Amino acid sequence: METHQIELTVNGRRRSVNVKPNELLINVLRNDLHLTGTKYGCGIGECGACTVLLEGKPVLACLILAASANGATITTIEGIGAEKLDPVQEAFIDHGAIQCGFCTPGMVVTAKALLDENPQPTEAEIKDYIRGNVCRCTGYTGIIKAVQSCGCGGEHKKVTAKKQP
Amino acid sequence: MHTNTRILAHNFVYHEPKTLDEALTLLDKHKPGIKILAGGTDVLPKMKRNHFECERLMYIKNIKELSFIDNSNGLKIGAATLLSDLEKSPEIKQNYHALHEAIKAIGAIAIRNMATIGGNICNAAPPADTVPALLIFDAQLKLVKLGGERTVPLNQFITGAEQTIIEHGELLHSIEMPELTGGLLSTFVKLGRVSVDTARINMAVAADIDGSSNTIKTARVALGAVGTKAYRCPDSEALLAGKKVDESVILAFADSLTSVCDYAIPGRYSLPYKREAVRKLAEDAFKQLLS
Amino acid sequence: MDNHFDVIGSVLPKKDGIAKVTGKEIYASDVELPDMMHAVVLRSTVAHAEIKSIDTSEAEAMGAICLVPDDVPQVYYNERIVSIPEKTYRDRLVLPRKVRHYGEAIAAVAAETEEEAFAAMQKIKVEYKELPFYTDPLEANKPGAAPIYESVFLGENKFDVVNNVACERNITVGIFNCCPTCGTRFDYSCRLDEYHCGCGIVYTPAEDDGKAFDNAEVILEKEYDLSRVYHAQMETKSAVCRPEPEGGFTLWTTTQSIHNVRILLGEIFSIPLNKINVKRVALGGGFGSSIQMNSITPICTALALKARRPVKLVSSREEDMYDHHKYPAKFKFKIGATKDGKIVAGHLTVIVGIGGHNVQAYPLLGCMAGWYASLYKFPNLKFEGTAVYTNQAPCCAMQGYGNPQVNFAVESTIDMLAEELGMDPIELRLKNYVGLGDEFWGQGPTVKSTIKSCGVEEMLERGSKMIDWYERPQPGSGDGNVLRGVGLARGFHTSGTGGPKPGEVIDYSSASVKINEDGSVDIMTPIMDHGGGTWDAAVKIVSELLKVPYEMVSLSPTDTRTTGYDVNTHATRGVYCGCGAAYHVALKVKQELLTVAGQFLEEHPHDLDLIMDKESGQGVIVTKGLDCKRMTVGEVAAKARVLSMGTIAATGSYRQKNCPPCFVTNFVEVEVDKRTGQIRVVKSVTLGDCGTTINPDMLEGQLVGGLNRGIGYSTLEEASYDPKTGKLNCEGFYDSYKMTTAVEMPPLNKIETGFASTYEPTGPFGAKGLGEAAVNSIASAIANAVYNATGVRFTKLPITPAEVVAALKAKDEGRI
Repeated sequence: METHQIELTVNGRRRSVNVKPNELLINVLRNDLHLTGTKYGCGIGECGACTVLLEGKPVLACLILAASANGATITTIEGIGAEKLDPVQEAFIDHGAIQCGFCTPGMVVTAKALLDENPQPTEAEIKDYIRGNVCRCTGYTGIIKAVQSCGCGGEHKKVTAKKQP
Repeated sequence: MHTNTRILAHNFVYHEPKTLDEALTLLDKHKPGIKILAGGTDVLPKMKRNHFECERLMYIKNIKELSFIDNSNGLKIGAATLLSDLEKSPEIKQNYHALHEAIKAIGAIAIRNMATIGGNICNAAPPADTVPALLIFDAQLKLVKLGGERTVPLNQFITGAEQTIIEHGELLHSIEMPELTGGLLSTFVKLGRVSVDTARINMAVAADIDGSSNTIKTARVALGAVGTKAYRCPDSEALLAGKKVDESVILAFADSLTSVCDYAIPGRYSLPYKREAVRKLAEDAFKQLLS
Repeated sequence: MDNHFDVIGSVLPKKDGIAKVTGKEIYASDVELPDMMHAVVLRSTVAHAEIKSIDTSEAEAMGAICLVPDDVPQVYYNERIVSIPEKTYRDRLVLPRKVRHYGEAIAAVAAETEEEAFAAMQKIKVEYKELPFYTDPLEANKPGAAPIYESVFLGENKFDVVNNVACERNITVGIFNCCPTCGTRFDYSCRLDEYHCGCGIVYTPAEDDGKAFDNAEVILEKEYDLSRVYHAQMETKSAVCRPEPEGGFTLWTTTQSIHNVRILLGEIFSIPLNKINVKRVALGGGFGSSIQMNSITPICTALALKARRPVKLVSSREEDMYDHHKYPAKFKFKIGATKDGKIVAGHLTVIVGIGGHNVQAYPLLGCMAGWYASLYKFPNLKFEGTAVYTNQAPCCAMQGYGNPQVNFAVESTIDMLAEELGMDPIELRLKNYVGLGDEFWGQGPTVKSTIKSCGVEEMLERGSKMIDWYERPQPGSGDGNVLRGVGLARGFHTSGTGGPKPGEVIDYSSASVKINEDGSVDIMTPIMDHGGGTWDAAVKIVSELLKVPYEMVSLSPTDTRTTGYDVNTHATRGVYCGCGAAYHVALKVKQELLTVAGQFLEEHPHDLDLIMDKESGQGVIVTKGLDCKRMTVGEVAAKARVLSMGTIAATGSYRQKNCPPCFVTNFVEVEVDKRTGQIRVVKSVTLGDCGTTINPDMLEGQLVGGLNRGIGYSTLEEASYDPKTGKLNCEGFYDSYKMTTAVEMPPLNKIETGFASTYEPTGPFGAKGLGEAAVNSIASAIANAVYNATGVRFTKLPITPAEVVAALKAKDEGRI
């Protein structure tokens, strides 16, 4: 089978991977690049556990062919708060937004994208934005409170979709 | 057959044309075994569940000619335009409001950042959310192939559940809607079990309401997920035309929709439920229109 | 919060918060090892069949390592070894000779990549001889039904399976088990076919002499039907196994008990336990689905041993959904009471369709009897439980282990009884509830203790005010399309399975605590944390005892080789039992610390106190009284090292001798739309009684999480089967298995929680558990609220929109 050499910028680092046409971005991230923060939850786009940022926008890595992401700038959970915790991450810890933690990477990535776009989201806006992220443990309220707390005067750094020169 | 949604178990050749010409040439050369991949939010789950396979998959989201929003004369949308880009368009929100609401009701933000309007139409699932909204705006679809093109009204394009008249070698290029007479209010309502559900019923309603007399001049109604495809409801539209907006007309509207359900899905297991539930959608549609 | 605690009751950062929020936490499905192969399981595409042949030649030709039933030890086991062996039914092989449910694992393949393994698996040819299959326990139980098993093992003995009955449990208390002639009582904890009374009568308990209800002035008989649902834990079941050069292996897996996994694998593969190391990793959700060793774990192990290379096996979601469900239940409940609201008798029968394997049906039935007996006082009580094999995914505990099911039957009926008696539902409950000083046997008839802390009255009173209980509408009195109603239910759960004497259920935990040379503290404990804060509680407890600040106390990474045994993190025993062991071991460390410090300070240990100095990050030993001698814990440890005295540490195991119930009271307000049948919880008041609230924020998280899952259980979720194909209707895919999203939760300011001010004298710092109690009564409260809103009683779960619409229409048209 023909393979494709793709270039990705992942968490600010340029990575080069050789992929088969049917390889999924989630598995390239987890297996080839060893970034296991992005989780497999359902495989068909219904749970949000595999959410990553593509050009700064949340997408589902389980439904993206790695080959089609050639040239893209991707941020995984490992790329958020790598040096110092992002306010949204601190907020998650402070507000009971984490229990088993398996939905957390997808949730944090999604929450960060929301705050980038809408720095002061209302409760309804937060719920609507994270409706594609399933959490089985917390009942969502801790997560909503965490995001709200970032909106009320919490400093928030925007994820920039910058390519490495 | 076994499935494993952790991987994509099917093999295919992957194509990524940069231009429309390149795409059409590939489609022509390799038909019928070549299929189109846009957002992947329908194609990939189907492949993972063994409901779809192909020899070649052609990715079209990098073709700039297929992604655009043109408000200059009515509304023209490239088929590969992302749903989230359409959602952000102020002109669509203002002038084709039902389409804006329909898109917002789809999936979740991550899905909308991947999915395209062309994909939603061509997948032609009976509960596809953009379709009722496009129907009330009299959408026409431009289909292109190597050496030709044709324009087809949306209601003729979709012929049944996941069935369209698209031919091998053809690609959906764009969706076009005529300019609307000023003052046309439109809205979209959807009923699902949970927020990210596909619709059990969805509906787009547009009405040209005379503000001073509170009378509906004309109305457009399209119902989806009740039957194998969405459709306009001429009887409901006729019932609303010329009527004053009040409780009794909304009730009559609801009654007409119940009749539409009875007619469209007789004997179906979901009929007793849908014929009642649609009445709430009727009320919600008007509440939203008037707010 | 009690002011004299330094850390207990404080809100402190979750110890694994940073790892989880940065994606660095490692779960079993994240483990990567050099030279690792990937495995995929072949699952049956029929519901009930003999396996005539499995041809792996093509798969092997592709270079894959294959595993078929002949390759695995023919050892029958039960994957859950929490009950004593004599009471454990065993019907499992690593790979079966016969298929008993759609999606059962019957072979497996390992290859260099998951794609290769899957491709090879698809080349395996299986020949089935299909048999009639059953997705309804009533059908499976009929005489003449095709046997799913001929016999299984119970303890060491063969157990013949008749009419597909996996096990039964009949328990009676009071007049039900009195000799009808002379009134002598029988011992209700044994189940006998016949009781030979001294007066000569031979009495068969199945005969209901009806006398128990003689004093009842009101009798209700109701039926309830609760669906299977799926745990839907976020992490699918996974295992990574690495064979070790000297024999044996190291294993990472999704489990709630690393020690039980080790013991089972040692038994199955005949490997001594000192050669098996099960590492503890974070678990992406349990809810009971990993109490037992998961079915993929021995399969992964067998593949790794065959391949002599590390093997990783991660289930797909659809596989996981075919692997384990919550127990369904069909109830018949008869209750009798006097006109002034005293319960006189109760008779509960239940049939549970347990799926293709008996994981823990026998203790389930015992627990169901116990849950039923411990909600309200039944002077005369009868329980008849039958677990029936069906051709469906094997059921296992899910949050509550029969308690949500029983609670639904009892709390719905109590509400109906209150209405019948013209009594307020709160008043009826207060008249009859099992509370302080009463006997509690929530974990079955052999696990009993006396209740020493109870906040039931406080919670009913407080909650009723928080939701304007007495202003609620009359049932079904609303008009318009949206009907509003308020409902109440109370529930409880046990805190572990301890009791004054060891019984049918094994329950103890081990821990080791040591003081490091700088005064920081390591805790080694094998207990798991499902995310609810068990680990943080352990840290807080040790920190509070030794007065070493929270940041200076940590749980060590552990495995089975470096920890003593812990039975399981289940039955809401993590804090009460698991951390109870840490508490008792830390007490020993405290003694030794004070002794050593006493030597250095030339003081008797009795004259020394420990205080916490958060600024310096040290525990400090000070003299009581006028001399202000002081030494930090770090100084003591450092000096002990320099003087070659030794490490101050202790190890031990501990068995709790009680299982104190934790109580929860739920009030919910719902809106029901007549046209769409949708039920929305618009307000929720949940009060919990868990004694001392060690982690108040995480406990609140448990209550809210329980509310979320309870909404799903009562109105959305259904792991239902197609009786024609034996497949799940949703086929294992998440788009068809409906769960709540953030949008379905009530508004934040309408979710109120609170805790009773109780103290459990037998628990670490007065704490009990809470976890499962958080979900047990939600569905009941919602159903009671729906009745208040609509005047229609729903006795089937989930309550679907279509059923609501149909029922309300029928009511409007006078047909019901």
